[in-house]
Amino acid sequence: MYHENIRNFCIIAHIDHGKSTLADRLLEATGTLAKSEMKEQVLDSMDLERERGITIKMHAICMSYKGRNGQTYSFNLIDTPGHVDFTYEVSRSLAACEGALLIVDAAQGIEAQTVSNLYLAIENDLEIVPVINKIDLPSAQIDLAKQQIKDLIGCKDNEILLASAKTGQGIDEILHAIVERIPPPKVFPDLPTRALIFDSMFNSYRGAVAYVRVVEGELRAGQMIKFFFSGKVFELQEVGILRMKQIPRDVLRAGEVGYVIPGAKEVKDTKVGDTITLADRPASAPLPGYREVKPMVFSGLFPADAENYEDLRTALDKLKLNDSSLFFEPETSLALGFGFRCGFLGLLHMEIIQERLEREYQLDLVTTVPNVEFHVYTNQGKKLIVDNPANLPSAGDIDRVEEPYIRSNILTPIEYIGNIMGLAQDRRGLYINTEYIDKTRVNLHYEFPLAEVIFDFYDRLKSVTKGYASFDYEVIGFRPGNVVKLDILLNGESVDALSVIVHADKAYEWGRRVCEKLSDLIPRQMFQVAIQASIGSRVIARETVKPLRKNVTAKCYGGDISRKRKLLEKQKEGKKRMKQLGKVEVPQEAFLAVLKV
Amino acid sequence: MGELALYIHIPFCRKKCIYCDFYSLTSLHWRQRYIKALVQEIDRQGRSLCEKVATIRSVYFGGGTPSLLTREHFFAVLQTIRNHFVLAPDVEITCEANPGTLSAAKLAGLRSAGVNRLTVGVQSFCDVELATLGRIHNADAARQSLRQAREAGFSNIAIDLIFAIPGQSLLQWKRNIAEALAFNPEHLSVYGLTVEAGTPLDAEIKAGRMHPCSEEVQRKMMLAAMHRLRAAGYEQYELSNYALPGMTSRHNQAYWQGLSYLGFGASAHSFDGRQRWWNCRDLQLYCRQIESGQNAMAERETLTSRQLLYEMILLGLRQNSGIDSRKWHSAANVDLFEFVQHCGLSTEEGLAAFAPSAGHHLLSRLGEALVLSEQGVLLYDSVCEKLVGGLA
Repeated sequence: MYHENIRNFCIIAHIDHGKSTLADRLLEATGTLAKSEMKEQVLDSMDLERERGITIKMHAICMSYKGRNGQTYSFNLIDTPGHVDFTYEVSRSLAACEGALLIVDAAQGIEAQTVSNLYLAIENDLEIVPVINKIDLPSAQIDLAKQQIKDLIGCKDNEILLASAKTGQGIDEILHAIVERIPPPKVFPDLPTRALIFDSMFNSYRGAVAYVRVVEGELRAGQMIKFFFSGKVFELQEVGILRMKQIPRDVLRAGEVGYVIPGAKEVKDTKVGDTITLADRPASAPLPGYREVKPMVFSGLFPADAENYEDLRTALDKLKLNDSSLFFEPETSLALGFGFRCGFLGLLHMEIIQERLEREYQLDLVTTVPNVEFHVYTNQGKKLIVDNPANLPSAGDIDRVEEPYIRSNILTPIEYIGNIMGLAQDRRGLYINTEYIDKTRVNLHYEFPLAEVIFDFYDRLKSVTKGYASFDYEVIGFRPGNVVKLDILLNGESVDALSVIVHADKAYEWGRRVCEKLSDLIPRQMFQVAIQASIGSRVIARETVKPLRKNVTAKCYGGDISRKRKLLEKQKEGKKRMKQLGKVEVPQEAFLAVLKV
Repeated sequence: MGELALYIHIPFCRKKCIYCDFYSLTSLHWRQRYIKALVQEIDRQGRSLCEKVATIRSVYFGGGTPSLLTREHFFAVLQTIRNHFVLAPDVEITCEANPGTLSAAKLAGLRSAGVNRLTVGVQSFCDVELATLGRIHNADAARQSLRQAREAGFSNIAIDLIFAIPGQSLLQWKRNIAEALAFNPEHLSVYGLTVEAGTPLDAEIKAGRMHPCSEEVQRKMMLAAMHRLRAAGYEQYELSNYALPGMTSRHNQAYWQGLSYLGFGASAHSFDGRQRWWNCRDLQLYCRQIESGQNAMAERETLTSRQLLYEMILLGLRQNSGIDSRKWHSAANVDLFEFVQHCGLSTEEGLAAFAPSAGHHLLSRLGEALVLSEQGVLLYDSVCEKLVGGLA
């Protein structure tokens, strides 16, 4: 049967452990890509990914491999994004595979991201092929990495492959192991069609393109297909497989991986995790595991120059075409004007969107302090979902507030446990337990309010562990939280864009630091500027920017005039970056600086 | 061109003061060659302008230290000017002079060469302060120079004073003003010490060896000068300049009123109402260029109508005549007073220029003019920034 020669697999690795380079080598070794066509790390096609060394959006690629037995195999490598914000997407990619290459850096050992993805893979019954990469490094500690892998998945020593994606060493063994150890897909060609969408993208000419793994039945161009969760029906325009580009085929059969073009205008019709079936012979149930992806982190995005509001909307619309997890709606701020309230999967997702807006769309943005979503129960018994400090009812109307919590794994060398526990305590972490991975490493399990980790937690974690710890999380639900709305006032007037919802115990510290920071950034003006932090009507911190007392150019003769005028021109240019709040001029940096408090 | 002001730059000093960022050399080695080039430049310019040019209302020898020149040098330069330009009968010919370079003979020479206004760089009557500034003279030398200038027949003497010298007290500053007044000068220039980047003063302050006066003290010093000099009958006709009635500096007013002026010598600036251009700063380069028959111009700028408005603001507000709303309107096509409001600034009606506003307004509407109040004077830079920033 055709499916005996199909191998669907993915690569599980931590950022920097060489996943993309290894993928490149596989493409090269199978002749999918000639060496001359190689651009380093072909799979990461966005500049941003390449620069940050991370994979944001997954892709899939089909390779032909001539095995040692002379038979030709069809390899489908399904790439997975490598960050905590995209755990769900990772789980869907894994669900499309029968096996996974577990890549461990010979010098770095296993990290948290790898462990959690590995667990996901094991949950999905994937065959794990462990590979120690970068064995050519002088700092490689192969035996240590081997021990870690054995402790983690209980394999035998000789099952662990050694490779260097950089030099090409071990690549043949990996290809052979894929044939030998990863099982072919189990297929049920006669059952009603079910195909799993594990990724989708937007093409400006063709509309939404879904990447699918056909599980049962088959898909052909011209068929009427139905999406289980969106419920929509489309006439399938094209199906095919993915090489370096899309190659149309007549049919995608059970067990195969490829793309389908349903003629849908938006990617939200081809959501990751949804199941495609046939309209005239539908399957009775979707494939398991679908989840509605919800934004967890919210922030206001405003154009630095009000004239760019429409440009920002257009840019967000375009990004949304390709990213159904991005959410936005118009927001108006007295301080920052017209902008958008945006929802993101997590902090990295937020940073990526902001960076893409600035880089690809040349937009200069002012962002507000990110916050999580709160469930607010009022005294009238109503439940409100609040993702914007401006919408938090006054304290007197609130019965209770619930905030999202996460369960996290922190993988660390044991010498940093103390530091991490200190940090966790500071972030309202609930200690669950410690799991020993080997003699030198532990996996610390903690629960945190999500609000405590969206703010520089990862940076702090890296700094208290000299960069050795790694971290990942999943949201586990909402729990009561004692939070308050903290306002920042300039000369008595509240600046909406600086309001935050914080835990009551941290309000004082936050207010004090924001006031201090603002007093450094707001230039002296012709009058005194009072900067206050308040909860309701109670002021909890205050700083003062003293007024200018004397500010006079003493001499202004022949040559001084041009000089003075040029100075004024420069100041005028600088003023474009100032926001006028009441009478007070506030530099845009002030809004951004609050993000670094 | 109807009337012209001429500026002659003399870039020599015996010693550089620690706060000065003007172009000047402490060596007199180049003096002869420089004067020759200067005469050549005036000659050449004069020839090309001859028919267009009308009356010269003022000539100003600035520096540097022009009083380092000899009588013959002044004769040569002024004679060249007379060869090409018509001097007004009441022409004002000013020379900046530093005590320490003056003598009875030198002063008599200046008089005989035609100089009729002397501006004396006294700066302070306190020896410690003069030493701090790195001046070559002491207070007694300043006093002697002022007496000698009167004796030499100068009836239009201006005194330059500096306040906010590191270590200066408000009391000493008031003493300096009082002593200057005792010489009955026709004119006083009162400058707050400006710390220019890259000067030795800047370095001293950054190194913590000198401590600038606090802004609050500077404010008091400036107010003390304004109050004391006005009480003594001087008109503050420009932020830093005070004169007895009729004794304002005609030359400097040309700058502030946007009139035409021609500058000669290294780094000298010229303006014709729309274009401004200036010579190279380097004295040797200047000489070489002039000697080889070229002009010494380093750069020229043509002011856009927007830039003309900026200058109308920054120059107008310095003067007690203020910004003329009719001139503003014809240039900007908006009402000046509405514009001021739009910039978030309030005005008091009918308050005299530079007078204290009871309502703490920074600006006053005086007939057709927009002028600064006393509070506005102290925040001149900020007011300019606000108005320039408010232009669409």
